[in-house]
Amino acid sequence: MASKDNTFFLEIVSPEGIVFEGEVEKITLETNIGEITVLPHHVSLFTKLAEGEVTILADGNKTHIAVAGGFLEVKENKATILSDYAIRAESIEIAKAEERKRKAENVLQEKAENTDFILAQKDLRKSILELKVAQNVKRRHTNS
Amino acid sequence: MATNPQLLKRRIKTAKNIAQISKAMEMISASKIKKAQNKVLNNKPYAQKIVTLTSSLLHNTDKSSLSNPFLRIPDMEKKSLIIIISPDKGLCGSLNTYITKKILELSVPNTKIVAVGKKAEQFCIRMGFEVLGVFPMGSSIPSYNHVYNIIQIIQKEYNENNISSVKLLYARFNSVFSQEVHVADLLPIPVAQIESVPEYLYEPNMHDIISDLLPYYIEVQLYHSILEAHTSEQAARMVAMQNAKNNALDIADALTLSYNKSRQERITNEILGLANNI
Repeated sequence: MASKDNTFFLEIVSPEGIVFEGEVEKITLETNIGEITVLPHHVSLFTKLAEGEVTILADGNKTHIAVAGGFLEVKENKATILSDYAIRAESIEIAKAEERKRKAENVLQEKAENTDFILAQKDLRKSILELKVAQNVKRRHTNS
Repeated sequence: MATNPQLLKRRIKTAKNIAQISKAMEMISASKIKKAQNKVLNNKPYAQKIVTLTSSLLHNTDKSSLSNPFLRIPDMEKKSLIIIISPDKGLCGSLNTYITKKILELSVPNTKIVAVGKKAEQFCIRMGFEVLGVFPMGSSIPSYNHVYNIIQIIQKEYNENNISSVKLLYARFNSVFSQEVHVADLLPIPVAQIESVPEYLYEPNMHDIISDLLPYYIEVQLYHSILEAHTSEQAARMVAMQNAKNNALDIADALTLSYNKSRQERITNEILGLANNI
């Protein structure tokens, strides 16, 4: 068990609820200007996240979470990730993501109305992201 | 009491039918409320986080240095925009009455209105208010679609400097038995007074982040209010239907009693008649 000194509190919140909550040792995430790693006692930081993967190291175990953009706030040894959509890599269902991707592509091809178009675009990006993260995790599994 | 047994029988049947229908509606609302409540509970931490983040960010920064239209100091002479969120349908107790009362309280001629839900729409049009847009509330969990459209209206009006503030009027969900009509300020963004927060390091820079964060803030606030309004509607309907069911059953009981009484009376009279004839 890691001592309190070299961990910090991480919270990942999405509209579907709290996706992750707990003491962690390190997180790596993608921002708009490149990948950053946050360690305990990081200086107060506010940044925008890009769509991508958040890798969490807690108690020596790695957890992967896909986030569809959002914000990161680090303050007083506490990090908060706010995201439109966040899902743990384990709970990504590849078949479902593929299905959604296909559906979104269809909508986009039909040149739907304004809002439908935006929603479909969002869905498409979300599903592509999920597939990417799921594949990454799978590859790492087979490598190790 | 009416003593015509045929008539009484018909009335008993009517009361029982009403009880059955309101029981079905109660059960529909009860199942919807569970889903809606979950959605609200899950959404709550996110909404709260966005609100605290935004207000702590704004607290820390000098707003006049930013050119974001949402932060502009409004011209108080201008009208304010009220977004009214109401149910599409009635049969939900006094919820609609409270909402319309609140609208009348707020609606000095100095307002523009966006109505979500048919009840608000009908009321505002009847009263001759300036309605900029109407959206249906729907009977299942509201989707994000309307939020985009509403935001487009807000942005247009705000950017053109047509309005000074944006308010939300919706029924806040306290519990199944208590909902209150609540008015929240959406724009200009209220800045909470918080004790000194450490200076942030902004990446890439503060200006970009704030202009990215503010649309999120509005979106989330709006969607959360719509969700809460939906939950309140279902809760109010469930309680109203429960009462309606109980009342209908009470009436059916009372009518059955008088039906039986009149039937007994008739039989007694008939027997008496027969006995007299012998």
